[in-house]
Amino acid sequence: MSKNPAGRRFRKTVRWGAALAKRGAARSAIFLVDATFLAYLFVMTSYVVSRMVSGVGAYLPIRGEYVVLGAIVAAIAWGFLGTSVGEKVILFLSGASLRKAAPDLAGSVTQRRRWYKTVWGLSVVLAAIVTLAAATLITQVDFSRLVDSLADTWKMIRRLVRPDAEILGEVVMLTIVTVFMALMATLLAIPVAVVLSFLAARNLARGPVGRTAYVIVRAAASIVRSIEPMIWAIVFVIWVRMGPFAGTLALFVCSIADLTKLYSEQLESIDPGPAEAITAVGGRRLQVLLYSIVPQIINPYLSFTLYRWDINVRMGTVIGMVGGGGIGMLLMQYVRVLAWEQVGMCLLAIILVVWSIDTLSARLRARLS
Amino acid sequence: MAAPQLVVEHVTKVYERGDVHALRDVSLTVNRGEFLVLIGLSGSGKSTLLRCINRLIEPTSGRILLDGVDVTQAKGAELRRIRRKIGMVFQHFNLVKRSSVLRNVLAGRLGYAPSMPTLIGRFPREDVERAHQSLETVGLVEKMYTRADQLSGGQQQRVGIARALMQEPELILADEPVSALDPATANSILQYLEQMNRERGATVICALHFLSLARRYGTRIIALKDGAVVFEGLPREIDNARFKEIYGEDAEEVEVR
Repeated sequence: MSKNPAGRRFRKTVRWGAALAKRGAARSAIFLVDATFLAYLFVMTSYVVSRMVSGVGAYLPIRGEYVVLGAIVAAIAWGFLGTSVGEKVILFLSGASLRKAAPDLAGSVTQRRRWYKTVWGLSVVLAAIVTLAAATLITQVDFSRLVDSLADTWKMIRRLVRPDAEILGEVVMLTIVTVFMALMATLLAIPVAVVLSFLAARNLARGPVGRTAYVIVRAAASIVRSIEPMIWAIVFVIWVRMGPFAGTLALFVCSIADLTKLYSEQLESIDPGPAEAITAVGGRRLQVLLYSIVPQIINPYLSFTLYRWDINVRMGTVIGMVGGGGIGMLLMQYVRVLAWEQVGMCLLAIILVVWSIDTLSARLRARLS
Repeated sequence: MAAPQLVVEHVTKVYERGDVHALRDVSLTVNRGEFLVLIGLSGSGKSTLLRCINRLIEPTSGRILLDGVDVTQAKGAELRRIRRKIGMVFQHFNLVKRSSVLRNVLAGRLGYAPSMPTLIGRFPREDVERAHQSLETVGLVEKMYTRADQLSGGQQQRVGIARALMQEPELILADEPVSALDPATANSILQYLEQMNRERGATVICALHFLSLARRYGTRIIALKDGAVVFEGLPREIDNARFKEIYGEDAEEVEVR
């Protein structure tokens, strides 16, 4: 397009420079992957060997600095020993763009040989075996223990399947509490999430203020979502003391984050055409919103909300166990005193409620879409 | 001769990303009652030009005057007053698919109706009457309460035209209104536009892909190439040489009836 030859030359230089930078970045990334891989291989192998030989799980038989140093040296050496794991990984991840920028890097990988004839192939297989061995030792896998206490467990199960109907009233009351906790948390979260979703939609984020709000809301939602509701429940139990309110708050916080994400993704996928049309007829911003955006999002929003309520009921039973009120809290009380008939009753109620709400919400959502 | 209805003066549009020149110093005038056809390859700037006229896209520089009023300077209420007398018909119809035909057509009246009642979906009685008439004009009265996405492409575009009719437009911008339709339907849609042009005196600026349609409906043709005007004249003046100039050496003309 450009008729300016100097400009074209400049752009060409930039592209060449970018390719060089990309090569450098790729080389460093390959080196990093190799070094990490080798260090991991060494540490895990030494752990497995020390456990097997002496029964003591020492991760590092030598000082950490030496491991790092050794890994670096070995990774550099690996550059000369055929294709390394890092080259495979980085080329696989970066795909076509790097292949274009650094064809020689790609070339070393494309030559096909059987895996057991390549250094990287053997290393990966070795790493897999060592990882499996180490994982077994670390998690203390011991299937014989499943059989050892079979008799006791059988007794417990027999008591569990004979639910105690005496506590039916209490169980029903607290199940209702859990369902309402979920309902309240969802209802309270809707207005907050609706507002936040408009800030968190990429296509609606305009100008520096909009962009900033987008980044902040997105980041906040991600952080909140990465913390499990159980942990939020513990926080709120400390904050407002044990009971349904703590549980409701925990579900509320998680619902906001989750619904904001779901809502805003829906907003990002709307057809911009109708908004354009309403703007073109001379509509105000609010009219554009109500006449072109709202009709497109209303059903998905309702559907997501129902789905979230359904999740909240399930979460609500778990949250009760750490003091968040409802049926979960009762369940936990009976578990502590090993009252299995009563525990069975609670479980029965939970299964019934979760199943029916799950079915109801699925039906309603099917109708909405 | 009366003053031209629309004057476009040295309009340039540069998209910030990738410094693409969508329009390069475009100047043209349009008189009341014309059926102006814009032709050119995809990406030649037809859509951008149309959207600059009602400011769906901000021109980078230049002026656009509609009835002597500078559109490029208008803000807020004034811009909405200008927009409401410019009807727009889109390639992909731009209807709200989940809403009824009637609601889509009524939306064309949003620039006129008192705004508070429209926020709860209420329109004055005469606007509802007008919607009936518009749908009658395009022959879709019986589909009034049907959801827009239940209609065929041609019917959806007729709803789009009925929506534009609601604006009592003095100018209609049509952005490739028939590109998504089959040839037979395309002709009928363009006939509706012609009808609005002849019977209601609305000026039409219509971007088209097919030269045969441009020749048949246009009273004047303007061709764009790489964002610049490369031809301006009567439909019959486009001969083979001109055609190759606009569409490139390898182009062959395809007939659409």
